[in-house]
Amino acid sequence: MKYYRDTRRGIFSVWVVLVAFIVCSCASDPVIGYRDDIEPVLQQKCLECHLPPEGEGYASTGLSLRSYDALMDGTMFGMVIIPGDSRRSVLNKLVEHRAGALKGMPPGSVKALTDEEIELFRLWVDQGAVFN
Amino acid sequence: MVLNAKSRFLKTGRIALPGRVAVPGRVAMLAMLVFFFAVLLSPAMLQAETSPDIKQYTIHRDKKTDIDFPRKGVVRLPDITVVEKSGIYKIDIDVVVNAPADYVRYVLTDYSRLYRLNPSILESKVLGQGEDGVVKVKTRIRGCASYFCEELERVEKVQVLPTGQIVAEIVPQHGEFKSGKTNWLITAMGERCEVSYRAELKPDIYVPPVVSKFLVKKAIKQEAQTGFSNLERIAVNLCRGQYSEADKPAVCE
Repeated sequence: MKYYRDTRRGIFSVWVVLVAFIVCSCASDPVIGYRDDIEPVLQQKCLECHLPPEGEGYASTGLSLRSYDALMDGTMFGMVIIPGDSRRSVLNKLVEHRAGALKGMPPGSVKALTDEEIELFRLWVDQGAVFN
Repeated sequence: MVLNAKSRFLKTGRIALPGRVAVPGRVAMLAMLVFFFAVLLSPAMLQAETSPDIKQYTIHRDKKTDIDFPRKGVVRLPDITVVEKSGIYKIDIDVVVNAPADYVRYVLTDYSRLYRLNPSILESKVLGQGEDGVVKVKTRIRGCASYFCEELERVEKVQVLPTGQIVAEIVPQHGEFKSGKTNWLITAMGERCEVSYRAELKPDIYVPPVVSKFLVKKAIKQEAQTGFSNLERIAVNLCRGQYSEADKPAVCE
């Protein structure tokens, strides 16, 4: 009988821990939306240069930021986003200035991304870079 | 009674209790836990739960080019040898790249944009340039053997010799490499070139023997394949100048 009670208590404890884990993991990061969070930043700070056919950024790399599909197509050198992996995504490398300040995006300080915007890009890519 | 229950549990993983109520034992609980963590809490499941509006997306890497790239990598079967001895990884790669030598050399010496060569190059920065033409370059790379990943930083002194060879030596005080030398020999063959890459790298991390070293060697080969494919793609696109002259190296104008 003692073992019956212990086992029941054990199972209950495990489920409590699991439920707590689920709640924590779901509540840890807010869900970032492309339309609400990412697109406005791209339009405000990046589109001027990455608008085909005459944008300077588009002309030199082929990266168009006119739409989600265009962003995911990447540049003529390859894709700029690896869904789920912001550390390896070129877009994040550039906005986080991991290629040096001179190669960072956007160039210059006028339209530099804020820390919050950089974090938005990181979370969005880590969450799968979905069109939501 | 207790002893009986225990011994039955050891045999079956379940404890039969009075009243014939079967309660999962520790083995069954462990199995449930493993299943829960492995399947229900996998990133894909969590993602699906939080983002119902997932758009199925196919990435067309070469959509913007006219070049008829093969589906898996551009470089034709590079000859890659990776040998490990006493913690030193010796890497020999010989490959013919379908791009002019000058462009390939330009891409390899565009140090601030080395990240384009391989997604695993997480950072690439020029720390300084000496009067002798030696450039100090810092890179942070992520090496993965199967599911185990490690981020390694390295600082190299890179020099382009008058022969066109690119030689790099790791500065051991900075980063997670005890030592290392790299040598790129690029031989022009008209519109193509032959690239010979020789490297001896001694990472300053513990790699468990046998299986792990096998996985590391396998990972190096995969990364090399990716790197050379991207090298060719970038060099070819720059050469064709489909978008702009801005990125073209002076030697190619």
